[in-house]
Amino acid sequence: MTIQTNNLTKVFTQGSKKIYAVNNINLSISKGESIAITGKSGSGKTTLLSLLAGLDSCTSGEINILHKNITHMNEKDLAKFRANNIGIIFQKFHLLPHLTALENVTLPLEISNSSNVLNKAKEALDLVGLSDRLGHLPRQLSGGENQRVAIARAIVNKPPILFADEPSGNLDQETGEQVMDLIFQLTQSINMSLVLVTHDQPLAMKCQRQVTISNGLID
Amino acid sequence: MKLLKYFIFQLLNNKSFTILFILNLSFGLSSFVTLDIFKHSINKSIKKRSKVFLGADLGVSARRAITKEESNLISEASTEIHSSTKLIEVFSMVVGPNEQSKLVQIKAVDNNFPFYGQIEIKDKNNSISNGQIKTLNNKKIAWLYPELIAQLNVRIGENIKVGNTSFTVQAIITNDNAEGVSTSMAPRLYIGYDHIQDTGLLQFGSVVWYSQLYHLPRLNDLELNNLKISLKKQIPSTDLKFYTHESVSEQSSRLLKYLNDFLGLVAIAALFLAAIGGAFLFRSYLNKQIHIFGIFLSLGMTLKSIMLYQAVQLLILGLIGSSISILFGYLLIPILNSITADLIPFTIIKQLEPNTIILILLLGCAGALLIGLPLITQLIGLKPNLLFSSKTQNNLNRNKWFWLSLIPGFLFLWSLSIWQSHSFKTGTLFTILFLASGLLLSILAALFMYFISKIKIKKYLGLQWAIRDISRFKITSISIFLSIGLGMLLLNLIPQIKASINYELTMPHDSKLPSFFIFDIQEEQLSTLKKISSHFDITLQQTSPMVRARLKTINYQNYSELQITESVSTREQERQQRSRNRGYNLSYRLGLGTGESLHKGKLINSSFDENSGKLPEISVEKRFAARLGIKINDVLEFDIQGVSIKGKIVNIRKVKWTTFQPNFFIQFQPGVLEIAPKTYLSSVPKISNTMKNELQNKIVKAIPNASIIDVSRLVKKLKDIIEQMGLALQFMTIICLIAGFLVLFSIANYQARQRSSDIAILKVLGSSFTTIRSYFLWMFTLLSILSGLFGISICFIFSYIISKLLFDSKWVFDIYTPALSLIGLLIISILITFIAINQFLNTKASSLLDNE
Repeated sequence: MTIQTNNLTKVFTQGSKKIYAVNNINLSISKGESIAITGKSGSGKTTLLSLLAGLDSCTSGEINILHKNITHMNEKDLAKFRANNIGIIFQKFHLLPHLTALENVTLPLEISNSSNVLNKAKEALDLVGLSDRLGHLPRQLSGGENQRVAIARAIVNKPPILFADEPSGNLDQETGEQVMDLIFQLTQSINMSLVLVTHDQPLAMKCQRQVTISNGLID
Repeated sequence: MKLLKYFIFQLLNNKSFTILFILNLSFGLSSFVTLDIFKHSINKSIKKRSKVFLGADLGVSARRAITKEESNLISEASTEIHSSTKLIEVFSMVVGPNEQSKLVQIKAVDNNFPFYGQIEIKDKNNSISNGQIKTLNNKKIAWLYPELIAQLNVRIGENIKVGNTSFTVQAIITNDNAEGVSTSMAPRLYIGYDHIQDTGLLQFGSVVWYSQLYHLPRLNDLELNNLKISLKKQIPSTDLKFYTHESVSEQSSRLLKYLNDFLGLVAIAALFLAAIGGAFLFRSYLNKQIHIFGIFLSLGMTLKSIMLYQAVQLLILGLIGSSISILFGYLLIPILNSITADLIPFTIIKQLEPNTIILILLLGCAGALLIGLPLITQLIGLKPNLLFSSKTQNNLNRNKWFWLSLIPGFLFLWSLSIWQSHSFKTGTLFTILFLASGLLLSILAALFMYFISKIKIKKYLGLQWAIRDISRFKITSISIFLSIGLGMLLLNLIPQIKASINYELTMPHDSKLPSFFIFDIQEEQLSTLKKISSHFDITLQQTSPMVRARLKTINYQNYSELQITESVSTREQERQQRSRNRGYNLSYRLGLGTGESLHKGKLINSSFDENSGKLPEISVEKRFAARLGIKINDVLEFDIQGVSIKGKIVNIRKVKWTTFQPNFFIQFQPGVLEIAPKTYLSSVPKISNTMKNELQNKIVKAIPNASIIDVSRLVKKLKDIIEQMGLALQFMTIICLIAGFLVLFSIANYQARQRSSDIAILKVLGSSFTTIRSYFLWMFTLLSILSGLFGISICFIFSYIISKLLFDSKWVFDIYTPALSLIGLLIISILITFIAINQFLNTKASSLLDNE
């Protein structure tokens, strides 16, 4: 299994009240599988994604990714693990505004101390169709182009798992569809596992499996 | 103003901006507060004691005895004169029981002295009492300043020799109310007025001041001043000097005034640095608020109102900042007091004046407005449709209003500099140099950013990102460059100039400084002096005649001090007035003396020929000529003992005063003044200490009226004063540098806060906490160190120019202060950046997944 969770729970405390954002979730995702996590706003889907991607720590339970238990990993090891194994795409792109498209894509390679950094980054940008936009800053690019740069940045290290949080949420329908097609095409070609968080049902249907979350529980 | 509450909320919602802006402003202003309290306290203390300093309300002095006619005219000028007292002051050598001699300032006082204050003495039984002046006049006794006891190796009850007469030391002065703010190198000795004639010191040409002091208790300061002016008009003699107790205090605190002027300039620098920090913060704040402005605009508010509310916000911040600065400044006062303690021999009562509070509040509000004005003008053209754009940041555009609104800020800086330095010249020069250094630092920063963007470092990721981002965050980099660079420039400039002056004063290698400087030598004593020196195998240096004269006319126009305006507002006018009030010492010589160089005109290379039909030639010292406004070919007429002598200026000389050789403001062509009554000055070249003591004792014994200045003591005194002034200036500069560090903290903190999402992205991408921290540390430390280095480099250039042009001295490279300050800067920068960014490094990577 690429991702395996056992009784994964995340509890937030508001005064004396406990809120179970993720409640006892057991989930398995295999290599190359695409899975959509759907649910209403506040259902806990984004919390689940941040736990799976190692961006947040759980209250109880266990997460195994690529046969490694990341539940109790320290910050340093977790960062290293993310650098080598995980790619993330956000709804709001989250590119560094002062860096060019090429520099933004170069970042994960530099962090993971890869070799041949520039060529790899250029290749990734070429894959998303932005080879003519290398020197542009995010503010000089359209929303769709920014998301393509974000995709290139997420896949440049060829991570086995790609997490995407509403990747088309900030884009118009046509551009959103183009971006999603690109994500599916790329994950399939590299044989990546894809975890897609969305409330867009037709988009979720394009994934191999759909999981719906409600009140922190899998329906 | 009904919508003001929303803008107040805006400030409260942006706590970090509000707090940092207020802190920057209050720290920048605190040095102003300290200085203003210090100045007012000194002025108040001096004013309170001014009658005591003089011992009277009004006085008149001359380098000759005041005539009976003059005395009568003064007494008749006011019916308010209660009584008067006579005083003679003379510098002379005094010899102790073991033949040890020392230059002292002898004050011969009559029984009425002083009308105000007292002289507290300690007798042989160690009992302290107020000295009774009449005892000084009854017997030949003397009261000494305590340091003379050791210097003359004398005890109470033993005899000392003053001129030709022996005096018994009756007491030690424990508190002389009339001491004032003195920089005199000779300690004081009191004897009775009736006995001064017996000493034989009142010879022609001796440096003697004859004074008459008057008691007018019923006249207020204004009436006293009017009386002084009317006396000057009634007795228009340029060698007679009238003064009130107030003018004496002002004269005696001249050194402090100059010190305060320079401290004021450093305080302006601190305010300027705080302004850089404030401008950076306000710019970031405005950028962040753009979308809120868009909302207000869409709801129907005018852009003008929005801009006005921003100005009101700045006024509020300015008011709070300046109020806090008053507290900061008040707390800093004791430090400045203790640093300047040796320059002020009395206790200063620190007092916060209402004027200071008003001034600081005005400065704070005006400063905050002027900082923000150029940024507020960048809102011009803002439209509500920005809300439809995803780019709600970086909407500030530099338009023509931006550049125009910078002008009031520059005018403010310029007028503040002139006001603080009390000099148009110094204030303007400071503004130009300060802005030029800022410009130079900005250019260096731009060049550095260009070159650093070309550097590729592969090994250390933090350093690699830092180097890349220094050139990307231009405003940040330039703000740090300016604040740290200018702070380091000022911090190093004072020690650098001090090093050059100290070198000039001590000249450790190949010293040409004389050991002694002898004056008041009568013509007939010159051969004795030469005989004594040749006995010691010493050749006297630059033995120069000195003729006392009064300037009568310049270019045949009457030179009278009545033409001089009574009110002076700048230090230049004060100096001009001082140089015009005096009688002058003339000398004559061919060519140039030691330490002199020709500035303009031709050298005097032949003696005067009476039959030539030309006027005798005159050489004038450069600065003196500037103060008097005289130039080559001007004709000067002097009165020497009733005889008129005219001469034409043929050259302007530059004199290097640090050679401590006899130099004169006015030198005549030989062949004119030889027959005039004169005394001589001479100097003794560097000799060993043993020989120095022996020679001094021999000279004093043979020529008791001659005065000898020990040059090494004089140099030490000068160095002590420079040290004291330097310390006070450095204290102020440290406040200035702290203001710079506060800018660094503000920028680092604000950057880290603004870039918390960037930090989260880096974390998501797998970057470790250590790498991100090292990135920020590298970025701000590199900027600080490089700006410090550039600041120090500019300091070297400036100190070189100042040493060469202003002090005419050799430039000395002082490596210790720059090295120490750079090490200090490195440590402090790392520490500040660490504190400023640490809390933001903990931003959770998952925060990026929050949709808002």
